Amino acid sequence: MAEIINLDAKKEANRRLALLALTGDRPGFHGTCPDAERLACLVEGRLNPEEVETCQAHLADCEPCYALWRQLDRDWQLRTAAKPRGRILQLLHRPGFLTATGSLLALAASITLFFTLTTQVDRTALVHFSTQPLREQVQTIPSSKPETSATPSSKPLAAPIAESVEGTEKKAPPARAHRDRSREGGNAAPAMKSKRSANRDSAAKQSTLQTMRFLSQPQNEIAAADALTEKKEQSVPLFGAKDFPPSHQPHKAIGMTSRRSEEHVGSGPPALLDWQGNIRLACQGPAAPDFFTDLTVQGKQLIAQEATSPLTQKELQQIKAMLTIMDDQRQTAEHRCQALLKLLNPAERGDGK
Amino acid sequence: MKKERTDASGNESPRMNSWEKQVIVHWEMINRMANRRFQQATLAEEAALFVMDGLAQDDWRRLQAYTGRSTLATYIGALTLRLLEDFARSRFGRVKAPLWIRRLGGIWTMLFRLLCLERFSPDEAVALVADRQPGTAGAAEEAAYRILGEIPSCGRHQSESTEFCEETTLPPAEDTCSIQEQQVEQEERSQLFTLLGRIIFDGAHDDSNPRLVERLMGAGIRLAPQERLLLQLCYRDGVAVTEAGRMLGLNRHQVHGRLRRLLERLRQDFASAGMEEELRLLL
Repeated sequence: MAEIINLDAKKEANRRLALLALTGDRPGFHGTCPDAERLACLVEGRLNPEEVETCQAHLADCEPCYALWRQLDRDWQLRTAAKPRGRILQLLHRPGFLTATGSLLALAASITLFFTLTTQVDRTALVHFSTQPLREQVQTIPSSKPETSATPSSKPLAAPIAESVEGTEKKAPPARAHRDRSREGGNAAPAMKSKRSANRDSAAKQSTLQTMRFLSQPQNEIAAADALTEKKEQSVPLFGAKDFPPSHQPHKAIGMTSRRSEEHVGSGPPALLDWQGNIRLACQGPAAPDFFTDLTVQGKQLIAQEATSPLTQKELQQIKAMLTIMDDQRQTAEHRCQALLKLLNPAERGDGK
Repeated sequence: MKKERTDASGNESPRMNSWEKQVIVHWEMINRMANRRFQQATLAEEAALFVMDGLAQDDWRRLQAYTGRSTLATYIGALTLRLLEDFARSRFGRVKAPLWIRRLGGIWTMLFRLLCLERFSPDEAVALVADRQPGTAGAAEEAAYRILGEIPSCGRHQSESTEFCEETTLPPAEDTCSIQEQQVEQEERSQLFTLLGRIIFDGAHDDSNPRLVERLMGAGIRLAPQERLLLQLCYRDGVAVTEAGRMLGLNRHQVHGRLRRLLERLRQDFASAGMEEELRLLL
């Protein structure tokens, strides 16, 4: 408070001192009054320093010119302030304006960079995790007929699944993301095909995790994603029988599921689990007669390989029962699927058997 | 209000030259200035027509002097302001302000004219001064009531109209004074320092002020033109220091530094003139 009073007192003392100096000073006569154009130039800042000095010397002595100068300056300020360009220039001349603008631009650039990097990282991760397992899932289906019917057999299976996808697409938003990622993978199919074999070992663990996720997802979404992926990739022979040695085709063609069973399940015969997985997968949509034929052939091969990979009695009985159901031409495909699923998942179906 | 040059049949004159067209383009600005100067609509309209006639005089002689160094709008504005003052003088007369008002100058002379010649009320006069010279409202109000207090006859005897004098430049009053006027000034001079002391020191040192003020004023303080303008703007007319700097072509840092150094120099000058004690007593 005392400082404010001191400040006011100092201002008042300065004012008195200035008025004393002004009233005591008797200025001399400095020439004639400047003409209107010179005064206008002075206000607009168009005079050179010598002319400015001359004009100011006169203004200091001539009260009418001084008053005229002040009014003209005010009008000039009003006119220039009304122009948008003048306003922008005034802003640019403010000391803090450029600093503040630069800071805001830097902040905006930082935010943009942050979001760009974050998005790119996510996309890369998603592509890396999602494309390969989906493609291999599609691969498992046509490979049951090793050399001749691999590609043709996939078409009748894909069509009905795709039809069912259209009905379930709206209900399953996650499948759409899955499908988009598959589509990206499909466009890069030839390159991915060559990379797949090289990356197979390193991606084994990731693929296993994906398979587990895949199996835990609702089957409709998976089927939808598979069908759409297959539609995109029909022209690309991703899963031909040539990719695998003939001796390993029944086993290797199962692909993802077979690796899962080899690495993590370990206790049961791998081909049996693959066969069961194929049945589960195919029975999610309307099944085709050809599909049961393929599965029957696979089941019979499993029984024939019992000498090399022994099955338990229960498994053997289950396979035979399932083959019987598949061969039952009197039943519709849906009924046969229901019966097969009951045999495969008695607990899930609530049978308790 | 719009000024139109028409012939007897009401049609626009075909003889309208380019200067006349330019003035008509700026007619709105002329009207605005007249309204701001005189406030009353009829008086402002009369003044605007006076400006138009003044511009058109001698085949647009004033406009033909334009060389293009400044913008035409500012040039016409300068001409308009001068012609408006000519109109005010022709209408309200040319009465010389008291010496102490002339010594103070600035808003004091302006207020004297508005109050004592043009008979505006104090509030109107203050508003007019504040409108013409922004930032001076507080100082103008104080000055207006001081003038009314010191000149009881202010506005009582409005001067008769005088002949229009085209030459708007008034030489310094002291140089053109007649002998009688000089005698009057001598009489006034005895009261001058009393009044100045009262105004400057707000009556704080009534007894000693006239002599002290006279001594201080006789100290021979000299100001450079720019220094004088700076002090006038900042301490007499109440203009902000930064704004005063802009008008004088100085940035805010320059003007603050210059003002600080100037005040220090003034103190030193008074001290060197042997008036340090008086200054300490009065300030």
